[in-house]
Amino acid sequence: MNHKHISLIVVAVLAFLFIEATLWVRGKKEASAKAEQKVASEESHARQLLAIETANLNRLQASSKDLIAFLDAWQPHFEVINTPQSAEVNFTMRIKDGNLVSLSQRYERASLKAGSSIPSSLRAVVTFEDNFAGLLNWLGRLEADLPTVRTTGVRLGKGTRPGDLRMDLTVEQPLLKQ
Amino acid sequence: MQIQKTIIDDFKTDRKDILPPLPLTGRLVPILFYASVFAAIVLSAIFALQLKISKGRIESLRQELSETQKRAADTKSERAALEERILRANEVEAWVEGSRPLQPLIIAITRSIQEGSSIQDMRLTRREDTPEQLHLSISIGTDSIAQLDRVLDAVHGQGYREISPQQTVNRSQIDYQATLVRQSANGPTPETEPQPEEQGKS
Repeated sequence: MNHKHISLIVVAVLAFLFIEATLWVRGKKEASAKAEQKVASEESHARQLLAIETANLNRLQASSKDLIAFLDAWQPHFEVINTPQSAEVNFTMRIKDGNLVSLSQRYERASLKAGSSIPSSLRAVVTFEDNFAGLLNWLGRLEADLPTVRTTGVRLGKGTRPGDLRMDLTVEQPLLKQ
Repeated sequence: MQIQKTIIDDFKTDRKDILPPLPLTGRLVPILFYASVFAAIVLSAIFALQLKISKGRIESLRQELSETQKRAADTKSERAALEERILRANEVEAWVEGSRPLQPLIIAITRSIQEGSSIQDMRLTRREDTPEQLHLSISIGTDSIAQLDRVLDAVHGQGYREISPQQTVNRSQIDYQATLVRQSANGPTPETEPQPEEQGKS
């Protein structure tokens, strides 16, 4: 082997290194292109999901518009009285303010559907004996002032005194989930 | 004078053409070298530029992906909140539907009682599982069967219709029972503004 051969080998190795370096850069570019394609695919998929979610939300908003308006109109009425104590005091005060003769009053906490927005209520079981107009006006005012109160039972019968009416009333004040 | 042959040979300088010539393929190596250097520089520059552009795009796409995913998550949570509100609204609606005032119905029934007739006993109760339905049980002291029709007219006038009616007519008393359901599908609306609690009221 003479110096010409050595020179050839050196030049060939240099050429090989240049080619290798170019191929390395090309490899990096191709890997980057693949990564770009992957990210673009993920981004496209995310856009599709967003479009579906947005469409679902819009559809739900449109279909529930009236229901939500209903909730917005009624929710403040439910929030006025939200503890058993305040409900009991409220009933007691209303009976007192009505100047009605109540024979008995009983209050109890009633469990409704567990896990719902209205999990419990305060049930008031009251027996009155008074004149017809007084009793019915009082009941009308109660139902108008507290529209969320549910009158679950009314029994009307003759009172012990002539002209009087006996009214067994069961009402429930809903208590919202805290 | 005679000079020795070997000594003369020692003074000779080396001649270039004494080395054997390179093979033909060997002569291509420098050409290949120059070509590879040129191609490597040009192609590497192109690839490096493409790599830079691609990395820029990846960065941009990652940002867009992140924003899109965030917006999708926000939309999803907004939908979940709305679904929760709808559920709440349904429960509130069901409660309100089962809380229609009974006083107007009671008054209408009592006003329908004619002279000579009287209500002996009247019960209006809501079923626990279907509170929007009412169970009416009424005993009317009357001599006229038409009195019951007047009571039922009053019930219809309040937007209720009766199902599963049962009636027993004695000499001067009519016992009537029925389940009352609303005729119209219109939901109730609050007539008054919510008032503060009356806890402090004396």
